[in-house]
Amino acid sequence: MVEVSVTNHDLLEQIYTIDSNKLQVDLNFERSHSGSTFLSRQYVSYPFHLGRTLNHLTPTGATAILQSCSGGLFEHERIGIKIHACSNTTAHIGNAAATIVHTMGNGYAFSSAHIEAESDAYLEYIPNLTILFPAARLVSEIEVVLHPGSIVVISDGYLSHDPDFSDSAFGFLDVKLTVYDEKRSLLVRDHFNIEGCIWNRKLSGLSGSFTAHGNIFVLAKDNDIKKLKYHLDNLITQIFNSCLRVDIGIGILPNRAGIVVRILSDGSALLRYVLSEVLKVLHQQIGNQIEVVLSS
Amino acid sequence: MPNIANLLICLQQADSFFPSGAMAFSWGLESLVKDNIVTDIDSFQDFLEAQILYRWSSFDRGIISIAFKAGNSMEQLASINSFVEAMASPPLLQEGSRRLGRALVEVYVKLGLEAAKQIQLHLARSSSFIHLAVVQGYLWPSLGMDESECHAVSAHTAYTSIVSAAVRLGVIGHLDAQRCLSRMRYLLEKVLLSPVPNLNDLSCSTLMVDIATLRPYEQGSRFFAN
Repeated sequence: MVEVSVTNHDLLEQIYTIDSNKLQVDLNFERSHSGSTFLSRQYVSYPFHLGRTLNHLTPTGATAILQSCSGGLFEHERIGIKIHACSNTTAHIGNAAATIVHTMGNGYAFSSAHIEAESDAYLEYIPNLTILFPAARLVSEIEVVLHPGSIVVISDGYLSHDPDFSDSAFGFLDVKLTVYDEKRSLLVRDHFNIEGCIWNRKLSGLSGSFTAHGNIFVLAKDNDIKKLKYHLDNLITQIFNSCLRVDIGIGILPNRAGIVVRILSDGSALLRYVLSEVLKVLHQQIGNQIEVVLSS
Repeated sequence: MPNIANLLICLQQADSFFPSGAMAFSWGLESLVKDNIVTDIDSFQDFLEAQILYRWSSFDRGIISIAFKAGNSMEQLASINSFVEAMASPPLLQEGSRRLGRALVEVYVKLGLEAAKQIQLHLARSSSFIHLAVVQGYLWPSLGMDESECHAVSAHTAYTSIVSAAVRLGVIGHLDAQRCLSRMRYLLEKVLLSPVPNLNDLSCSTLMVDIATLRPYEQGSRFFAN
């Protein structure tokens, strides 16, 4: 009999075989005695730079902005990011500008992120859009470990960009999100991949005539997300009814592990707009929850 | 010389006359028809290609192969099923897959297939459900079908049910339906001869379909279950 033990272990091996020596970013957020979140460990190497921690979500939360000084992702480049949020912390990680994935020969660029939120932590990982130049090939993996009561918000956005208007397409895009609980049981798996030449065919059912797409995942095991879903439903209906160049949907994730909002848009500006509106509602709705976390 | 006995077994499972329940599902087509995105044979052909390449081939086919190799292990079957369950597909599509999985098990139980009875017992004990591709990969070998036959029959039932939905929605006529099936056959042959994706590579990339079935503002009544 062939071994097909698939629950978690095959997938988990990938998480924990990310070589910590090859990480470019390794961040750890802790809670101080006063209740505020601070960056207790930061290792950042080329191509990244990390500015000083700011307060963005709440006066006691921590916001870290990762900046890249390399001008984007290049062929054969491998980027590794690890973010850990200790119990009862509140943190936001973003970056300063869009990431360009440059034109490549036959190779790929790889990006991996491992995110772990301990119990009752609130962590946002909201990078700017990724812009795919002609023949760019990107493989991106994000792995999340959710502990009881924690919330992790992740967004992604991709734009197919053809600067010469030559009907050129990106080469390949492969985007994977895997979410586990604290016992390393698989909760959610999302895996999208497509060749640029197929994207450019504008197939009904795949991308149609849209040029950008993105997602927001609100990963929240053991949290009540019904109210949040209700408010997001209303927002999404408003956006859909007022804008013909956006298609947008929302769904509960498997194993009741949160919510996903999926967006297709005509251009990056609309995608950014929708992502920011969703985040606004999210902050309004879970603001109280953040305060509860911080004051507990 | 083809194995005539196996060919007849495959034809029986792939026949739309077989009571699998697949005809109640449009796999997102109905929503895209309502949106005027799928309006004619060309746009429908695109939709069909997207479904076969970026859902069936990239995901279901791999699940069938893994289930095929599970032997008689209910534990492994449950593992495969939990992986399918964790995929962030739209709830309507997930529910369709579960309902068809359960329906297929029930039909084979009534037909007296021992392996189906085992699954039914397991589902009753664990209060769980099972997805269509898992059932296909697990049960069809017990009828004597090999792995490639399981793939071919699964693909055929998937795309004929979508084509049938298109006819019933008035997008294409009966002759156009046959033209679509003929065109798909060439594409499908290439797919079936290509390597089966492994577990870590399984993906679903039908963005537009997913969004269409994730709308909170879906208007009017539906003809199909998804």
